Amino acid sequence: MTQDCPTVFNISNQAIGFKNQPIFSNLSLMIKQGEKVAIVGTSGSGKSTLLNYLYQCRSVDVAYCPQKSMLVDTLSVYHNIYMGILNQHGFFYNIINLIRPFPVHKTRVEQLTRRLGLTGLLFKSIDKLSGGQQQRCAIGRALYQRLPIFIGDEPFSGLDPKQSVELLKAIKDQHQTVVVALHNKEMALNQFDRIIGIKDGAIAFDTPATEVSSEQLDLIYHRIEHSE
Amino acid sequence: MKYLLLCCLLFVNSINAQTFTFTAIPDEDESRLRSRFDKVALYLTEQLGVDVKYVPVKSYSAAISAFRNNQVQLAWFGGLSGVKARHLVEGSRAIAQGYEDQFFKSYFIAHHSTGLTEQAQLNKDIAKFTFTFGSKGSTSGRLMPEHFIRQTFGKSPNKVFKRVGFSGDHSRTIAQVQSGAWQIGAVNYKVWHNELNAGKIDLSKIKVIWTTPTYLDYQWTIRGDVDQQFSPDFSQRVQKALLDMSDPSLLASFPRQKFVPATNDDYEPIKVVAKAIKLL
Amino acid sequence: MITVDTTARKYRLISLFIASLGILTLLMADIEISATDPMDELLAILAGFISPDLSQIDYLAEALLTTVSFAVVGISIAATLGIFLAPLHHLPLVSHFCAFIRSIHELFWALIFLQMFGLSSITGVLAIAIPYTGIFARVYSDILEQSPLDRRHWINDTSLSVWLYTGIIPCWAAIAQYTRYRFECGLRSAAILGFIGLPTLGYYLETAFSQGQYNQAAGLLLLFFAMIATLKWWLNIRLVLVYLIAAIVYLPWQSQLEFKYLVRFITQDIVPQPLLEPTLNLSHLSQWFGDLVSGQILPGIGASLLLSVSALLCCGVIALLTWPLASRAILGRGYILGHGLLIVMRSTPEIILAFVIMLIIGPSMLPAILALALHNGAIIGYLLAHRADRVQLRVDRPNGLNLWAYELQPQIYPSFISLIFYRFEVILRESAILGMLGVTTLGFYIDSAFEALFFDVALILILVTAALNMLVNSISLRLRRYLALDRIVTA
Repeated sequence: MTQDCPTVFNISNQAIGFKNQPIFSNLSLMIKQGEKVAIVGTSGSGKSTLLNYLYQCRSVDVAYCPQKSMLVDTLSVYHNIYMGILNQHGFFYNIINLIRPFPVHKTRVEQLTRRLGLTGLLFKSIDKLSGGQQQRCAIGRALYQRLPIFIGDEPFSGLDPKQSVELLKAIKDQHQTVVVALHNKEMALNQFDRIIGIKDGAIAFDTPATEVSSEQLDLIYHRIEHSE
Repeated sequence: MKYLLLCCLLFVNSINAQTFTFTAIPDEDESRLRSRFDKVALYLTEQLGVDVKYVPVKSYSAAISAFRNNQVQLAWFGGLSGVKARHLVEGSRAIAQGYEDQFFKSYFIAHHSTGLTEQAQLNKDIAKFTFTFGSKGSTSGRLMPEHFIRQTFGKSPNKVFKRVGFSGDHSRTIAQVQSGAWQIGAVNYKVWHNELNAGKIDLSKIKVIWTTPTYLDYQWTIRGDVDQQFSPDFSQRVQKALLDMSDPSLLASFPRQKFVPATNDDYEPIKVVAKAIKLL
Repeated sequence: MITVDTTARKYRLISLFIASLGILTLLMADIEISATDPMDELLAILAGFISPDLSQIDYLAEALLTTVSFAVVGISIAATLGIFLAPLHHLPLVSHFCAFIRSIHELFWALIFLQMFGLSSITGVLAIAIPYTGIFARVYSDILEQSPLDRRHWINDTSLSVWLYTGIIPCWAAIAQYTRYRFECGLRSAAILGFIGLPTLGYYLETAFSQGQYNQAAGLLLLFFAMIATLKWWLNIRLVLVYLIAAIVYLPWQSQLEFKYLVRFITQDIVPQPLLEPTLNLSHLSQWFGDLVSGQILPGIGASLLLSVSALLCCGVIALLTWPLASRAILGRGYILGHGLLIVMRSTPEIILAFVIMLIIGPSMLPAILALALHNGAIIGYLLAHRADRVQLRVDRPNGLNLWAYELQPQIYPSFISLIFYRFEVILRESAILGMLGVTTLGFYIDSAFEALFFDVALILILVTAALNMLVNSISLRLRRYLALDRIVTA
């Protein structure tokens, strides 16, 4: 179904990582518009490096959700979500909004927080939220950007499966292309069309979700169980 | 505490003093004090036949402390600091003063914006302005000007003027009045003339508005116990050496034409003034 | 209605509180600006900086070495004692003692030791070592409290090795970094000790400056800036021991002072004079003391507090304005310029800043306020920039001013407030030495008392200053606890 769509990411024979010590010595990968890709791999296998690289390739189109939520602790949920669109407005507009939120954004962000299960927490600061709430806020920051591509680095860690699926649905509704690093085996199999397995700085397998063999997954998830 | 004890031990080792030590703070040009006064030390060494050393100090109070603590046995003091030092060290004596110090004076100087002109009497209009002394412990920059202000107005300077400060130094008084930061200042007359000759003063901006009556200022003061410490007639020999000093390059360090004899009693009027102002 | 419950709001409230207090004191303070005509003098100063000259200064190398040596020995002693006092700092006795010794400005310590040891190296080293011991003990204990390991390990277990392994070693990086920063402050203190006659750089700087020899003053200042700016290249932590031994060998330690003068200072000079009269006259004593309270202590406390609180507000504003200039995250390579600016601002002695400002705006409390604010603001600005550059940033971070407003400023604001609270203590201590502007702070009266050799008065005033400092310190500590700021290390 995605055969005729334009390519979003096209990497061929790239070294990615640190200059002297690349994590991927020779990586080729193509992702087309509309694909929903799950990236699985042990911790330290290079998932974050890969996602980071993908983000850098087209930072203008990508809503990014980093591994640790990395929000601004002292600021409210509202402001952290608004931060997603800082680049879409002028500095003075942003400054005024920092001091006195604009009603238009307030309404929109509030609607978003309801979908995220953060109702009533709009003006609570991040340091007063639970880990799961922070995680959802971080996803909100990405959603609020309304960009065509979503890249998430384990955005659902710490959330229960039901919530995760709901959030992922929201993400998929809003973005044409979704690339997410995941821990959850069920979710990867059921919610994505393509699964890329990463091991030791190389792509171990790259198949449609329906065709992934359990040996392939075990290769990755076995290791995860050991390492965690 | 253990450091204190350590220090105390160090004292014991350090008293091997057969070196005669003096200090001097000249009323102008405090730069290169050590190289200038090392020459004076050399002269005194030749004259006295003992090792003479110069110790630089930064302020009048430091000079007095050093004198009081026998770190220096001879000091070139201002009028006020000399009186204080002799008050604190029993038996110490004024032995010589500068020729010019017999009739020393201060100038009151004003910024042109005040519109004040030179007068023979202290103009009572000065009360409207801000006023700066020099150093807190200076005779010509503080004590005598304050004395004459009190005489004229009958109250202390901070009740007379709009604002009173201490610039810390004669040169700074001139610089600050000239820049208008302070409107009026009191300054040592020799420093004024010196800076005038050096071209540092713009007479269109700043001028002398009053000259104080004359008073006694700088003098050499020697500790009373030097005669026991060195030789029975040591203080007399020091006095003679000072009075005999005729090399202009040595005298230029003070700077004075020559030195003339002085006694403690000469400075009685300064002592009275200092007591009245509660600086003693 | 959505309730607002953000940490930012808490900081906004406390900032508003500090700001209103500052504005109130600014309104009460004497901040008249008078028309001056400073161009000639300013041009002369500028000309000095254009052609700095060090050739006219005798014994320059000696002054340089003495400055460094005082700082090395003083800071080494203070850091060592501080490390040992830090685990005990939770005891009220120890923390009060530390607050007391650091509440007295190093210049006043030096003036006291000057009377006891004369112009000796002991005076210079102790004047630095004592107040810095108080500072180190406090900050090291702050750092140790954040030790990842449980604090009880080293509080209840008195064995040295437990304390070493669970306390010092995990915090070693923070301790070393703080000590290095304090060494810079120690250099500054050592230089300033020259103002009262110790043979450091300040000795010549003060002379040159007060005599209007601006090329020499500029030369010395530039030399000093260079020393501070290159600190990270020549102060290698592994070489500290070498420096220390070299400094101890270099400094002349003998004092010409006799023991009896030390005894006299302690038993007579610092005892209130009415107590030394042959017969104790109570009415005389109470009058002496009453005069002191009404004539110097009360007006001194008033002026000191007005000056310090006003300066604190301005200092905060300056810090907030300047830190982005020295932040690599915001300015990229351009940060080096801001870094240089902050070095100049924080390394120029306040007295010189105050003098130049006074030339421009005339005498009042304002030059003192601005001088304190510029100096301390630059120190906080430098520390904030340092902190901001350690903030972990997302790959999709905003940039430029948005980065500043939304990401960095909110992230480092808690550090800022914490630093401000700590700096108040420092500003109050330093306000003491700006008495020369005719601002009658406690320091003005202390300076006058030393100048007139009224050591008894000086000592009482110093004790009052210390008490005031300790009071302010305990108030700020309570506020920090209340705001949970005590979990932020005040580097």
